[in-house]
Amino acid sequence: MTQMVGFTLNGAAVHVSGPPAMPLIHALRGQLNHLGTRLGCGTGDCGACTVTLDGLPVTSCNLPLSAVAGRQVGTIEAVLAADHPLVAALIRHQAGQCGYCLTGIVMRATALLDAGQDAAAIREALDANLCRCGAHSRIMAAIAEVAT
Amino acid sequence: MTAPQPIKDFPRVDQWLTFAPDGTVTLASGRVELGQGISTALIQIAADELDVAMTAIRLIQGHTALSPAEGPTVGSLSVTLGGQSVRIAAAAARAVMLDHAAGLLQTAAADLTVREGAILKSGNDTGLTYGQMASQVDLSVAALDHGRPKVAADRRIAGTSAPRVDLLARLGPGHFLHDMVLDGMWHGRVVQPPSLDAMATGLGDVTLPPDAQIVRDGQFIAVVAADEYTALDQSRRLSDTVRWQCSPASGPHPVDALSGPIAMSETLYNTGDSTAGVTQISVSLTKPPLTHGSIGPSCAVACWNGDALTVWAHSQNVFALRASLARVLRHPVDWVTVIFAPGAGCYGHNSSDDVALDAAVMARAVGRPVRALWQRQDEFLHGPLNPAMTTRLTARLGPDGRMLAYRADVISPPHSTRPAGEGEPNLRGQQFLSDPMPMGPGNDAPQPQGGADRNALPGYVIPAVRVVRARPAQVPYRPSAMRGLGAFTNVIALETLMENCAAHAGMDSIAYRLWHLDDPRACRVIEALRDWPIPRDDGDGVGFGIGYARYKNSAGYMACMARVVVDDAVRVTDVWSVADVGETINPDGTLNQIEGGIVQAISWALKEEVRFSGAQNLTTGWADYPILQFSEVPHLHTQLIQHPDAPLLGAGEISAGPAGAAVVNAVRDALGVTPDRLPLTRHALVALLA
Repeated sequence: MTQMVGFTLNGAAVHVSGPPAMPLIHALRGQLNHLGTRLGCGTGDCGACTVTLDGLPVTSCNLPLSAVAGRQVGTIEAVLAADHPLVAALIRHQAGQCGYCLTGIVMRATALLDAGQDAAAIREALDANLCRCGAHSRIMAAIAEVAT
Repeated sequence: MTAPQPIKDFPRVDQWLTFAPDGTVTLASGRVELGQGISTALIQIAADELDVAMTAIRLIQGHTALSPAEGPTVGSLSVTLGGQSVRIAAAAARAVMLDHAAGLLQTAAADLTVREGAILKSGNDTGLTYGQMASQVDLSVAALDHGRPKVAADRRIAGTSAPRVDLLARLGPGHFLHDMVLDGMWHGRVVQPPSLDAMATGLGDVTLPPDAQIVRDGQFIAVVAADEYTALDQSRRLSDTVRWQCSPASGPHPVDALSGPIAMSETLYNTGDSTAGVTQISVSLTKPPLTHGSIGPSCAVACWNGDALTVWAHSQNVFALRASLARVLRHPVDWVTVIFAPGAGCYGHNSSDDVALDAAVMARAVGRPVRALWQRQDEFLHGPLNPAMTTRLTARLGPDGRMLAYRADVISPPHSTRPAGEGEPNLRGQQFLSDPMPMGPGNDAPQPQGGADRNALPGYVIPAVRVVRARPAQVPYRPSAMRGLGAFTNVIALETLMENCAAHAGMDSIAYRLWHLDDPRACRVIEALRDWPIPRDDGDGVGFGIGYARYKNSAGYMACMARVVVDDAVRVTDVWSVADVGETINPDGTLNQIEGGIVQAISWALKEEVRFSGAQNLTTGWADYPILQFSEVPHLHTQLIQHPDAPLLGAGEISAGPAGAAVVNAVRDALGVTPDRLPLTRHALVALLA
């Protein structure tokens, strides 16, 4: 039932144990004390729980632990620690209201920014992330400011 | 201006503000931060009046033991009432402090000023600070008897776009209630009974792991576990095996219920000669039930310490929640403390209060703190829903086209079933407990606030006005108060009526509205829209429309123009808006609220409907309930008309009605037919044109 899974979290090797079907987010929040990743719908539809897997954005609420073995996981904690310019731009633009969706948006947007994508492509990709407060325009303005 | 109610109810300075020797100021507010920026605005107001840095202020919000019991954080009233009360209290605190300093310095208080908490005399440091005097000054004095708030020209912090004090923290760990961990805390998930009359006849064959247990109290069933995933996983297993006996969902579809039997009808307003005029023009608008759609599911933490219960909740009204919990749990209210902690945006009465009861029941059963979380599916299926409603309007016009008589028939369940403490507690779990309490029907506030009928009373000058509210006999869901309540539907209906009347009169949309307005501020937002050099193209499927309202006929003024392109669906490309909310504490925060309301309104108008088959709710996930996405959000162009000396009118809910109206009128412009049913999906467009 329970298996031990090793992966790299924000550059450090970690091991967690749990059922293979347990979604990654529960390992992050429950075992690794990485509480920055937000649980939203639990079905991969809202994007609030977005993290990166080998540099690409994925939803962690429906990503089974077995699928991350040996791979690189990135979370908001690393983006904040690295002082990513998007974070300051978001604050400058007051690009959020309740902010519950924002962590997942930052994870998707920074992954795509770092991969050199432009703001228009990122806007399309962000359809995978829902924002209910209606801060989309401000978020896009912040992204456009830091996109090369 | 007259003092707002909160400062009358909590008249002492020290009920709002206390000073510490280290120079920090603690501001206690009953208002809560729902993401609307109220904490930043309140701190700006207090810092400005006190002449301290914003960083010197520590804000306590929504704490039943520490905050003034101001009531709910609703209705765009937080700065209008709560903020103005903080301003009066802070001005008084500054005056009392300066009086004390003047005594110590043997000078006149008028010679003293404050800079960052330091007392200056003729601009020079006196060595005295608020912190030093903190223990010497008695602030248990009536705020209204001391000091006066600054005039607008003297404000330095209020009126500026100070950055949100909490936004960065919201990005990281530990800010949301969802991240709160208490010693020995377990995690709980409710297995939601499928209906109000459901009886669990058996739990089925479930074996729980050692660090998990089932909580059962009557028909209230939950799994509590040391680990959050175990609680989730086991609650899903249990919900698959538990056998419920319940009657099938019966009764009409929520929209059909609006044209079915009426339980109650009342005339709320009736003046003038309703038969005046020579031409009659009617419109109707029906909106389906909507969900609040918080991105984070509702969460609460409960901890019993002997008989004392402490609950952390992202409730809009911790005071009513406290009384409601005490009533449902048959527990003395003095033994219950409710403390606000941040959740996801709620936009009104969602499940945030319900989950607080769930947490308290689970924590009581397992004898340890419990963090309870609803699941997204629960929010769709069992959370309160913004009710379906129909608004039918009839205008009678004189020979010149002027509106002489207006009648509104608003058919809707009441929009408020909020927990009301000594009234109806209305927490979903209460009806399932072994000592159950039935849910109440809720109510609508009287005009001028109104509920379903909010903004059904037109802001236009019309000699004869009649407003009738009717309540359908039966609706298969729990109605909620969501951002603007009935105003969204009523404003859209009224603005489509104005458009049709203007067309009949052969007048321009804006000129027709101005002809019916006598409030200069109302005229000014519309004129600003008129004078804005908005490029008007007329390509295939392009339409432009406008919408205007003064929210509740007493709060902010707002006029919008929308541009849509209609092909196989409706796309809103641009919204131009002008708003007047009186004084603005934080202009950028105000714009953010206005923009958010516009985006939400477009989403409601174009996409949203909680889908039912008959009385059975079929909506379980976001795939069933699309909302506006990044690629669909229009360009927003928004102007604020500022009045630093005018009263604060509030901003959070003013834009949904006018923005929705602008979009619907733009679709009318593109298609030549007035929409009568939301949402304006492809299916609805086909039906409209049929």
